Amino acid sequence: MLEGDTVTAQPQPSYESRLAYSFERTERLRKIGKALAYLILTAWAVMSLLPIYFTFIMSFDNLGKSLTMRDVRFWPLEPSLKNFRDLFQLDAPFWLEKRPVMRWFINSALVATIPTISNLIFDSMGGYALAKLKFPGRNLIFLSIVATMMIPGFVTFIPLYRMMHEYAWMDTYWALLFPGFAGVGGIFLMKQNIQTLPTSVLEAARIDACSEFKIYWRIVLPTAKPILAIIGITSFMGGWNSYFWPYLVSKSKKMLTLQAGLSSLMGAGISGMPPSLTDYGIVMAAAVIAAIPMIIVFFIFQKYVVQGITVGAVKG
Amino acid sequence: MNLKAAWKRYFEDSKYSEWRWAYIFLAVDLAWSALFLFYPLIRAFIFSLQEFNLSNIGNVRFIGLKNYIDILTDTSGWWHSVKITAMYTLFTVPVNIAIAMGLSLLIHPLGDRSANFYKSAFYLPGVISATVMSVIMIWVFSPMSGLANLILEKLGLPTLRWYGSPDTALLTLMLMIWLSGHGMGVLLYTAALKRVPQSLYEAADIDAASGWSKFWRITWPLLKPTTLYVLVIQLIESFQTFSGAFFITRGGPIRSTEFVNWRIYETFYRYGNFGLASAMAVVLMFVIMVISLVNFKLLGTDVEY
Repeated sequence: MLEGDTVTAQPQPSYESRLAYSFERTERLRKIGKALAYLILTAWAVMSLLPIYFTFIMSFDNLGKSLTMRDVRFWPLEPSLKNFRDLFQLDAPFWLEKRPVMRWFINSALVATIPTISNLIFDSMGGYALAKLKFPGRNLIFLSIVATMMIPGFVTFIPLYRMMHEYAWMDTYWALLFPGFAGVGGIFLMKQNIQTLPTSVLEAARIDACSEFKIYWRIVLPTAKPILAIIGITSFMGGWNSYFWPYLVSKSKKMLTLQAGLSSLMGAGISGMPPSLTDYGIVMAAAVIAAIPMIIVFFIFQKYVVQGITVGAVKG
Repeated sequence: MNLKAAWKRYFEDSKYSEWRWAYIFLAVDLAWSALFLFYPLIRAFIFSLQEFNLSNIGNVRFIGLKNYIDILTDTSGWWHSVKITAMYTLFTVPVNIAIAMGLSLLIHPLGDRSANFYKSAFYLPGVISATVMSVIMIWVFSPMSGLANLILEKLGLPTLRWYGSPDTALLTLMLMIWLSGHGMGVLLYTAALKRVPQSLYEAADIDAASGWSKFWRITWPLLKPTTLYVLVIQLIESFQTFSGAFFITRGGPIRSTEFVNWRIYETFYRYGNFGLASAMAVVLMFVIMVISLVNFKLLGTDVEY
């Protein structure tokens, strides 16, 4: 047959050259795709971040009674700290009781740090006991921890709110701080993490007559530093950003946190009625003060924030 | 000195020292969880069986399952709030997963630096508190002079009343989530994409597979465990959505954003009906537990690559 002859006369492109051709094509496609990807991602990021940016800028601008397109700017039209002065009521007459914004800031800092410190200590202790020590009731305790991890906040908020009344803890730091003193999620994470520590290391330390506390302090804690950082950052941010519990248990202005104070500024109160912000400037200034510490923490400890999200997803 | 030695022997040479240490390590955790977790939990169950109103606080009595019957027969507006929450969940969770997956697929092939940049950009709204985000969104979707309306005006389109109107209030809350609620999804998906073996794609390239079939035959099945995880977390979060109603709509206008948690909050905080509110919270808890259990079952069988 002639066909066979033509095949030998005009050899097909070699496998390598075909591969090279397809690579070239995919390379070009990849470049177009990459440009498109950048475009979509940037557009989406701008869409979700621009309102935040505008709000920040507006808080430093001299705003009128109502907002218009004129106020939506990339840089303040009349840069001023007027909104912050109004928020702190610096220009108010001396006999007027000022809004205790500094106190709110301190309260927020307390709600963020004290439970974080206690969580780090007691979650790691509990996690170590559950992971590496044998004692009666271990499985029961661990199971009850796992079982309570998914309980919605409102189930315990209602009785806790009642208990705060019964203990006369309303409007005190006890009510603000104690419910976050330890956390089942943290104990669970610590336990899962410490379990990966080889038992032989601990056995060796025990043979050298190390006390359990020394083992915990000298061996377990140093090896658990990454997970401690994750729990610490997550708990810190959660504490700073929590608004509902502080709002429930604080009755006087002085016991509010920044988040709860901000919601009182927004005038949340009337049921079924959307708030009509009468003074955008003050609210936006307070929002900026409430947001900036978290943004700073996020950029410094980004690695741990990200790991805090992903650590739960990987089966331990 | 002698006492110290005795103490030391008691703690370290004893057969039961491990037990003792375990309970010492756990003491604070156990005390805390008893006081602030298990006791309130028991109280919640007890409340839910009581006629417990702040108006009859001296006269609290057990009424059996009446609160639960009230919930199920809808004398308390429960099913309305379930409907609103279900609608919100239906339109936010799948959309959010799709957005997060789409964004992650776009981020994944980028270099480390730009990938990290976009990941932080998408996660940033997540580190800002719900309070602050609500302030921002109250301005953006303000019925009067919000950013959204200003943009619509510029484009010559009719403006909307957003959260100020019962027709669009729920949609506005959904929009907020679509705009800024996928940070967690993006982080999880980009991490999962990194774990997908590159050799699979190379093999598919040799077989000249199209991008479409590569996605459905390789990426999608391998991302399934992540998708399930994100789905469950977001379902649980979405069932408990609260801040939008609390800060922005106050459940209104005309009850159009009355989520389950808002219903519970109003029942105990505004009307002082602790019994009914606790029963609602317990029902919500069981729903969430069922979802988590189904999740554990699904993840248990499907997680291996």
